[in-house]
Amino acid sequence: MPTSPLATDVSGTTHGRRLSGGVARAGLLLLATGALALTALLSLRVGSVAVSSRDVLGALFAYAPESYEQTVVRALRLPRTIVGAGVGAALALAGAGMQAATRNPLAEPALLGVNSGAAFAIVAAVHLGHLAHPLQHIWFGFLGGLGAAALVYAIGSAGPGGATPVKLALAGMVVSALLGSWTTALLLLDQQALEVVRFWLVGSLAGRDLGVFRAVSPFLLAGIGGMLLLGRHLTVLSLGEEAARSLGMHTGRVRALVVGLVALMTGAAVAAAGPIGFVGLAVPHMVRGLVGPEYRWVLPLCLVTGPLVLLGADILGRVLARPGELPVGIVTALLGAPFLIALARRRRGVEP
Amino acid sequence: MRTRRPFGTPMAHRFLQAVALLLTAVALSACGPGAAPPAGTGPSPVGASEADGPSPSAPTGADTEPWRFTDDRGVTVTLPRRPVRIVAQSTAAAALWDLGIRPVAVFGPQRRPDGSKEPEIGNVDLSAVESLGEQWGELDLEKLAALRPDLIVTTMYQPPSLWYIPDEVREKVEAIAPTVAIHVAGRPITEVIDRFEELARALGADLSAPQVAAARQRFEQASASLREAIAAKPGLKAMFAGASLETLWVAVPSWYPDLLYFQQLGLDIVVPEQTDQFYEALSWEQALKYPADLILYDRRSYVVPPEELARKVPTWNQHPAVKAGQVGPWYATAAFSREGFAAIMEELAATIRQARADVVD
Repeated sequence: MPTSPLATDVSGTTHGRRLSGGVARAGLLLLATGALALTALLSLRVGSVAVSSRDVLGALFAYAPESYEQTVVRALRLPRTIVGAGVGAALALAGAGMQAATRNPLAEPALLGVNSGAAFAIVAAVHLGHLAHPLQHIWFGFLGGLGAAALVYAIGSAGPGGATPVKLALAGMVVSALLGSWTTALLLLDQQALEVVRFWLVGSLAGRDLGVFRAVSPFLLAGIGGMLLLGRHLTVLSLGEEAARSLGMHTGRVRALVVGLVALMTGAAVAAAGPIGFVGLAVPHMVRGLVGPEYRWVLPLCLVTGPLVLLGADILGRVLARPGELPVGIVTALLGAPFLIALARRRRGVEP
Repeated sequence: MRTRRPFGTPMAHRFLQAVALLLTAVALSACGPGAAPPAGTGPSPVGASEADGPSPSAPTGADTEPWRFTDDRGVTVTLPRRPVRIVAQSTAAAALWDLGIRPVAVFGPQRRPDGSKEPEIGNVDLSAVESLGEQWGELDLEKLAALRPDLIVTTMYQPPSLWYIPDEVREKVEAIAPTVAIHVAGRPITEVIDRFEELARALGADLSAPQVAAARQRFEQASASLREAIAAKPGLKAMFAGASLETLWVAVPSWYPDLLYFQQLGLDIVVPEQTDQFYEALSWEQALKYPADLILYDRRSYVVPPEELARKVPTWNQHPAVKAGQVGPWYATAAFSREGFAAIMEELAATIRQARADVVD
């Protein structure tokens, strides 16, 4: 497979031990896919109750609802594995897109205000309407996330120069802080709302039913598909505004497209699992550290590594707090802190 | 600040959760079916204002002698005369109210967003008392000082921390008036109620008033009939629990005044492995960890109701008690009121009479 000259250039200047050959990268992708398959099986096999491999196979191919072990696998672990795979892929891809489009190594999907928008919309809906049905929460969360992203983009692209990375980042921070304070205010005023949304406010794969995931999956798939097609554009965009323009790219349009796709994917992911940090930030860094900043490779690897990391964190959460569980949002936050420190200390090498 | 959290995620803020969960044990008299509000013929109000003059029901309270009361921290409050202007936390106010003591002001949960009363506030007439704030940390110190209270009464779940008087403001509160704290966790509900009765008597309540006596009688009858119902079902195992879509919480009976009392009446209650918190948190994979014939399920509005669990959590449906259709209500915010708790026991007795004891061995 031919390698883009751009990628060789850039990766050559930063990190010597990256894999730059097409064969090596393809091998890596294959390896990651294999690891993901293994993790998905582990996610069905491992949990707070011991289940045999035979029960896992039974639950998948010859489900016997009267068997408790098979019910655990089929009704609890299979849905969370599917949701985890979808959400992990979406968050990692959205993070890669954000980091490339804003040229900001700390960019992550939450920068667009999607999480805070979703949280605010859900809390406000519960407060005003006393909603009870979770599917209603989901749609409010999804629309709130999209609304916040649109607002961030509108503010970030106002004024001369359009949507520059710095303006987007500042707009994202402002809108997130504002929505966050409104959410806190509502929760202080309305204890009942707090009781209703508390579990949603920590990202988790447990207890999220497949119906919700099914409802948002078209958006998830559209976002993932769209982002995967933008690999070349992201590589160019990540070189910087001037370089990209000099290569003939309409940076404003591409950036708007990326932001739209990120909002779509993240909104769907947040609606399905609640806000989950770290994956969108860390996975693109890990992937770029391995294959360099050629986004035609970064994106497919993110697609595989995102679910790998999220499912791995979920399995950890199930094992660590036995007989209870840690929600995956807590596990990723715990893992994320040291990762961020390491990232800050390394400084060079993993810039988008 | 989150208060009134009944249950929380298992990993973080265990302490806070534990405290909050304990709320579970707080008053609910108004919610028990048949818990009648006090009629106008009840014991004479004490302490509504000094203008009321000496309480007619307090021959012992000669106002010339100093007043003494030792609370559950072991702190002895000494006042030159019997306190009249009393400020109380919601739970304590509800317990005292049913015994004829009328506080001038309350703090802590009072009304729900829909305007109905919180279970904690019991039969207290909210139009007759001042409010000093409803949320944790909201206690209005200026208003409290302006009321010139003689005594502040609250509860304790984890002594010596006072309920709804955060440690940061405790000194300021105690500079306004002395505090009396009643320990309401980890001992049977009868002991808690007895303590409130001792306090009420010291405050001048007439515990031989007809309504108090009637409540006592109803409580004794309800206890006896619950004891009988339990004895008629040997081998019956009960589990007290609540849940979210992610977690099943199994109550640890030694923390809950109501469950401790049910145990005294002979009920065999599931005791989780982990007993240093108010409950053991189980992932839904562990739904079968504690077999039981009967599940008594927390019916507070923010706990996911069993009907929803049945639709969404397949492992819930596999619990033997659920399979057998034996899921009854647990009023986890049990009242420190004989009247209110009698109603709860009457309903539990009816549930047990209908239950099969042979679902699990």
